[in-house]
Amino acid sequence: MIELEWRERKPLRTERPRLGRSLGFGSQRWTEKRPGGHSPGRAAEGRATRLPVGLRSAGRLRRLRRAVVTTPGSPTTIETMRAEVQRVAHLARLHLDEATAERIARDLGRILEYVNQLSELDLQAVEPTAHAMPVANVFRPDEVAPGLSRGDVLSNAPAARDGLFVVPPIIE
Amino acid sequence: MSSPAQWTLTETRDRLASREVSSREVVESVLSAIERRNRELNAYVSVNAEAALEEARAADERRARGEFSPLLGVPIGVKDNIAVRGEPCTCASRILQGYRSPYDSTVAARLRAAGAILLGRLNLDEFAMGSSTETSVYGPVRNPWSAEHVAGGSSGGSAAAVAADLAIAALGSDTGGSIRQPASFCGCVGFKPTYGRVSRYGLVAYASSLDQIGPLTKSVRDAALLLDVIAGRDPRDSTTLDVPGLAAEAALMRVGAADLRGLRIGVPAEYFVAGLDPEVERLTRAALRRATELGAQAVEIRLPHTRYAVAAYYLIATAEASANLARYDGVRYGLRVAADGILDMYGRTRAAGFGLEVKRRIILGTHALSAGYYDQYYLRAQKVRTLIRADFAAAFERCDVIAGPVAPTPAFRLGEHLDDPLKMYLSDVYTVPVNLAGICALSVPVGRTAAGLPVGLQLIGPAMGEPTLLRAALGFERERERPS
Repeated sequence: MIELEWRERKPLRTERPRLGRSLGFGSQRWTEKRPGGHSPGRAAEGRATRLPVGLRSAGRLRRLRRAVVTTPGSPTTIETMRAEVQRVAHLARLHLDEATAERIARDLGRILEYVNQLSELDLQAVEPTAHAMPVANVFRPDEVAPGLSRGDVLSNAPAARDGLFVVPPIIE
Repeated sequence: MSSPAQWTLTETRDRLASREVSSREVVESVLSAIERRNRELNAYVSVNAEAALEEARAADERRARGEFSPLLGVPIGVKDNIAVRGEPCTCASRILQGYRSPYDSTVAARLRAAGAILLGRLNLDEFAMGSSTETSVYGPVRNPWSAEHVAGGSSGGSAAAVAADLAIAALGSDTGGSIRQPASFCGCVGFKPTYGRVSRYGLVAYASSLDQIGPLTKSVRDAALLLDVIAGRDPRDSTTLDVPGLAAEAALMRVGAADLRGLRIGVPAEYFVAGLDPEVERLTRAALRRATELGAQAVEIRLPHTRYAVAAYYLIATAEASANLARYDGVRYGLRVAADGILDMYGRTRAAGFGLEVKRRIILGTHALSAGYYDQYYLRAQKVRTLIRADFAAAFERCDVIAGPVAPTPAFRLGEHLDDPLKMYLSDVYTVPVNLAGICALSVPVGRTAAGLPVGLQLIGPAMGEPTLLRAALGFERERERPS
């Protein structure tokens, strides 16, 4: 299961911000069938199956692409937002029921439209700031010092045994 | 005579030092105030009365033996996202119900070392994500001046407790205005220190490059005193700055009466724009006029990138939050929802444990960081952050402090913005630039609206500008008003 996860994530990292992907078309995986349940492929499937019938004609698609091009790369239609929310929820390991996903998709569309105003600025020559107070290379002597006891560390664990955290099976 | 719960922090400290009152009496007074009003205000989410009384007894004994510590026997309230060993630390989230901190945050350790009694945990928006304390799993905090209005957020519990005399003083945290805005809404002083001035060790991380702990108090001097205790370099937080101690309270003592002669106050045109409530504007301008009467000089300045701050802030803060909140996975602490496989367990645990606003921010942050969107959103926001820092740097060439509103409106009604997250985010327009720039700022009460709601003035200082900021705030401070 872990390995499946890794395979699923890798192509996402290499994808470019193509218009197609933001609409849920560009991915080579969108027609791929995956096992049911909360499988890693679910988000991708969701994009394919939730596509409204009207959008499947090439003409509609071209028009929609043109409409979206005006705000580069921003997926703002509710359909694309719904698919994007499910894709991202999967990355964040967060199950969303239909109602919550719908609600967040609606809000996210509006929020992204708002934050897209940053595109007005010419930022070519501007360096990014990660930290307001740049402090670099903070070292301390590598000395043994008391830390939390094992009992303290495990004191809030939902399940622990023999000084270890207990989790559901990872490898079958 | 007023009851000890109504005293300021400095007053309480002085009366304890002169043995006019015992710590036990102070703690009892605060506990009885909590007993009377907390049900209605919902400011505290837990109070450890027995332990507090026991610590008060010990503090009185220590004082009888001639011991002195700056806050010996003074009870302080702590926002429920700052770790105090043995106490709950729930962040007002379902996912941390039942969690107890196995260690002290650095600020808690410093307060204890100064003799303070950490008597209760204060309500907040879930994981400090909100501007109204309405996203708390414990329900909203009520504004002490009007039960139909919010207390602000996310440190709404801290601000309401201090304003309504349910605490002598309190700690909050400020990521995008979460100390200053509730202080303005409730009518107390709220101070967000320079990034790196106060250790974040033991503060539950929301957006690590923006978070900072600070005091909510009944007076400017109180803020200085509390800041003196909690500030300083900490080996456990490598972002703390190695700068000389503050001694802010002592510096204020030397100033004595309010005197603003020679102070250049920058007034940014961008902070007085459409959308600013007329009463907030009137009170802000009146305070500025008073300051010039005290000898200050008002200077017009520009902060041209203010209008982009909210967009940049919500991209950066949610991106950092999505990474920070990955740790709540049902393995080491907090809620676990049973499932057959581990991925299902993560997904279900997080679904059941987080509220809607937290989920929304995790989704936005993960989206902003995900492949293909990183350059468009996160990187762009970081570049805008550079521009906002540069705006402030240019402004501080021409002035010592910047003054303006804290929020565009006084406290709004409960539920008014809850269904419209974007509207809620936009209400942070005047506070988030400070966090993006890492500089210091405070809110000091300057009056009340016709409806009786308090309004604070925001004073912004450059990095390490705390002493100037506090001295300036003293000039704006009025006699303290209390909600009935």
